[in-house]
This record gives sequence, C-alpha cells and structure tokens, in this order.
Amino acid sequence: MNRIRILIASRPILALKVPEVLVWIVLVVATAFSWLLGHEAGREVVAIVIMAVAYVKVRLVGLYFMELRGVVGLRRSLDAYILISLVLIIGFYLAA
Amino acid sequence: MPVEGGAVRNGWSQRLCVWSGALFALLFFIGFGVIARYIPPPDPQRSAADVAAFYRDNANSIRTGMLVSMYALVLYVPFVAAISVQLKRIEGTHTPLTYTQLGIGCTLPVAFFPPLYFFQVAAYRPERSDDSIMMLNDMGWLPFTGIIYAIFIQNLAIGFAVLADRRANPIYPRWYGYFCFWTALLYCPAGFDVFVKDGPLAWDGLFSWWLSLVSFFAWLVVTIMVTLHAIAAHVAAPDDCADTPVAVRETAGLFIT
Amino acid sequence: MTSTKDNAACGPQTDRRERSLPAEAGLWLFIFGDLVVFTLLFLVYLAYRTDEPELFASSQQTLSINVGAVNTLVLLCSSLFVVGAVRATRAGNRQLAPCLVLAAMACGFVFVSVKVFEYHDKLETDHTPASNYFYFFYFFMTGLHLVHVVIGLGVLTFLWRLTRRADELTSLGMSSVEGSASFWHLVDLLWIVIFPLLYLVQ
Repeated sequence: MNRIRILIASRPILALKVPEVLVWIVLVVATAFSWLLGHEAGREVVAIVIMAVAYVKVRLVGLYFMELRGVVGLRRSLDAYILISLVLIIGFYLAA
Repeated sequence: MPVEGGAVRNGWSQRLCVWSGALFALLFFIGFGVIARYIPPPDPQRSAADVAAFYRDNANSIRTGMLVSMYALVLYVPFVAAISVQLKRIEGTHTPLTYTQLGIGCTLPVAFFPPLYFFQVAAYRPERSDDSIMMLNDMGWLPFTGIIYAIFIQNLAIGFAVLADRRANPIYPRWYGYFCFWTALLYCPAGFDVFVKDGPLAWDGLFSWWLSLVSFFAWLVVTIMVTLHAIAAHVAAPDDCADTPVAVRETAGLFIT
Repeated sequence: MTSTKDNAACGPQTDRRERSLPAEAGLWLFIFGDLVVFTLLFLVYLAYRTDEPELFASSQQTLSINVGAVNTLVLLCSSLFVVGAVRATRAGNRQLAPCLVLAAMACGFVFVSVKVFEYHDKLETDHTPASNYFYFFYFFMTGLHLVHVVIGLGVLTFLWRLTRRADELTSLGMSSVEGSASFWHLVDLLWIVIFPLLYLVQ
C-alpha cells in the first residue's frame, strides 16, 4: 500500500504500473476508436461494433474501477447484465 | 413506547397498522382498478366525445370505485405511523426524519383526494358538455400520475434514517435503505406527464405510470415485510440494547454506521 | 432475527471488513437496479426509433459527436481520479486523497457545464423535447443522467469529507468510501453507453 502511495504521489510515470491506469488508457483509446467510427454514417456493422465496444468499456469499468474482479457473484451479475443488455440492444436495433 | 427494559405491549396494534398498508393496496386496487376500471389508464389522446362517453356509460361504477378508493387511501396513514414507530427507535430522542416521514406520509390521501373527486364530479353530471368532462378527466389524471413529490421525499427520509442506524443488529436491514433510494429515483419521471400527451412519459406511459406503480407496489410489499420483521424482533427481545443507540460514532458522516 | 443469542453482540459494531465485497451489499442492489432501468430506457428508445428511422437519423445529425466524446473523456478522467482517491485513502494518505476527489469533482462540474451549453444550444435552435421523439429521448436520457451526475457530486462531497480523515477511517468508513466511489463510477458507466447510443449509432 505504501509503495502505491509513493508511486502515485511522487513519481507519476510509475503510475503506469497500476492496472487501473492501463485500463483507463484502454478506455480512452476505445472512446477515440468509437468516435472515429461514429463519423461513418448509416452502417449496421459499425453500429453493432460501437455498441459492443461500449459494453466492453462497461465491463472494464465494472471489473477494475468498481472492483468487482474479485467478487464472483457480482462479477457474474455484471457479465449477465452486459450480455443480456447487448443482445437486446442489438436485437432492437436490427429490428428497425 | 417501552422505556428501559419495558416489554412491547402493543405489538398487535403495530402489526395491525402495518397490515393496514396491505389493505390500502388491496382496497384501492378493487376500487380504482376493478370497479372503476381505471387500470390501465385511458389514453390521454382520446377525443372529448370518447372521454365523455366513458363517463356516461360507467357513471355508477366510477362513483362506487372512487368511493372505495378514498376509503383505501386513508388506510395508508396507520401504515405510515407504523413505519414512524420503527424510525423513532432508530433516531432516539430527537427525531426529525421520523416526523418528516410521518408528515409527508399523511399527505398522500390529501394529495390523491382531489383527483379522485374530479373523477367523481365528472361522473356526477355526465350530461355535461364533452369538453367539460374532458377537462375534469385531465384534472384528475395529470396529478394522479404526476404527484410523486411527497412520496419521493418520504422514501428518501426513510432511506436516510435506515442508513443512519448505528446498532449492531439494525432495526431495518441496510439494503432496505438503498432500496428506498432506488424507488425514490424511479418515481421522478412521472412528474413530467404535464409536458406530453403520448409516449413513455404520458400519464399512461411506461416511465411515468407503470414504473411508478410497480416501484410503489414493490416498495409497499418490501416495507410491510421488513416492518413486520422489525416489530417481531422488538417483541421478542424488548430488553435489547437496540433502543439505546449503542455504537460509538466512529467517523463523521451519514453513512458511517 | 434478534434472538437472545444476538443480544450478547449488542456492543459496538462488529467488523464487516472481512468480506471481499467492495462497499455494501445494499448499494449493489441500487446500482444494478439503476442499470436495469437504464437498459429498459435504451430499449424503449430503440423501439420508438424503428417507427421513424429517417427522422431519428436526421435529428441525430444535429448533435455534436465531439462534444459528447469530450464529455466521455471528462468522466473517464474523473473516474481515474476517484480510483486514485480510493487507493490513497487505503494507504491512509490524507493529503493526496482529498485532492484527487476535488479533481474528480472539477471534472463533474466541467461535464455539467458542457451539458448546460449543449442544452442551451439545442433549445436556441428550437430543438425541444416536444420537437420529436428523438429529441424527447435525447433530453429524457441525458437529463436523467444529469440528475445522477448532480447526485454524484453530492456523493463526492461526502467522499471528500471522508478522505480528509483517510488515516483514521474504520472498516465501515472505508466501506462508505468504496460505496461513494462506486456510485461515481456508475455515473461514468451510464454515460459510456448513452454516448454511443444517442450520438454515434445511426
């Protein structure tokens, strides 16, 4: 714990060794990716990829930021929620 | 109220008041839903002629249904009182949240009488012009779905009180506090029914009517269960140090308990 | 529940730190309940979209993808600050932790300001919730989320007060820290889905 404190407080570069920081970088890259894809108008595949990326981001936030990684019950609930939501959203989207 | 080490002698009346909440729901459903057939609510976009025809064809069932519903509404008050008794145990001597809950809870019948009376007025002289009947119908339905303001704060007050409980065996389980916050949030969209005539926020919409109705019903059932449980625990162990808040205040803050 | 056996335990609070669950079980009920309601809202939005896809697509063109993306990044930054604050609190650092919470709150205020400008811009150009169903859902969804942001700012204020005593928090205080942090992550998480659904998916 003390080591982490020193890492974050005094040597910001080493914060990269903290998993949450790496996850955050992945989240930012994913946002940029979706942002680029968003300019591609009106393609169904694009829309599905964008929503899938969004729910991957949700999972990362849940597991790493909300710290559900180690809690089996909540992790499964989160996965079930993500899977069901994604399937329903894509299904409703394609129904158009 | 038992003071030091006193036994709970009025367990029966406390339970009676809790069940009054269940009776409220049942009678209201019979009056409003079964007799008057107001569940599901009519479409806000119906023409004035259709609305008037509904009152002309069903005048007596509407009169009877509203009458039963209003009796039902009053039964909500003993239920609120029973919750307050438990909240008072949590809060101890100075009980702002208990009074808030009691006061707001008692406004529920007061808030719902006017809409129901507007329906009564519409059914009283159904020979009135179509427009007048439609206006009375709107005057009833808009507040009926939209009035969530008081119950919103009531749920927050209960939630805060429950989460502030500092004993080792809390009077209400802590998840119930969060549950109250959640239901409070679910009522919020209903107030927007004044802006739209169709869609999910209209007075018969998914997010105004159905979500509020389902969450209110769920809240009622859960509250009855946890309150009965709290009374049973109190009766079984009247000497429980529960009535004197025990734990040392460990840190500042509401949720630190 | 309170049997004679339990009476013996009526002293100070028992230590609940043992479980691996971050925050309290009840809070997860709230968070998952909220998530389910939002999914329901997303599905209703998509269902209304099937009736008039062209109108939805053309209305969507008036939203600024860049503004939405910036707000996503702002919330992601605030989440990282909150993660840092929780770590610093666990390390008992009462200097660093409150600073990180304040940084997260600053991000929250930026989000709210951007949103207010966005609303103002939409209303200026006569796009109101009454214009059509796309705008109705745009205001409803982002408005409901904004309510969460505002509540979240209140929760962060509470978190800030806790982190100032980071080195003397009990296990239950820590649990409140984790709970407050999780609520703020929920705010981030909801926007992660709302942004692509409203702004990007056509």
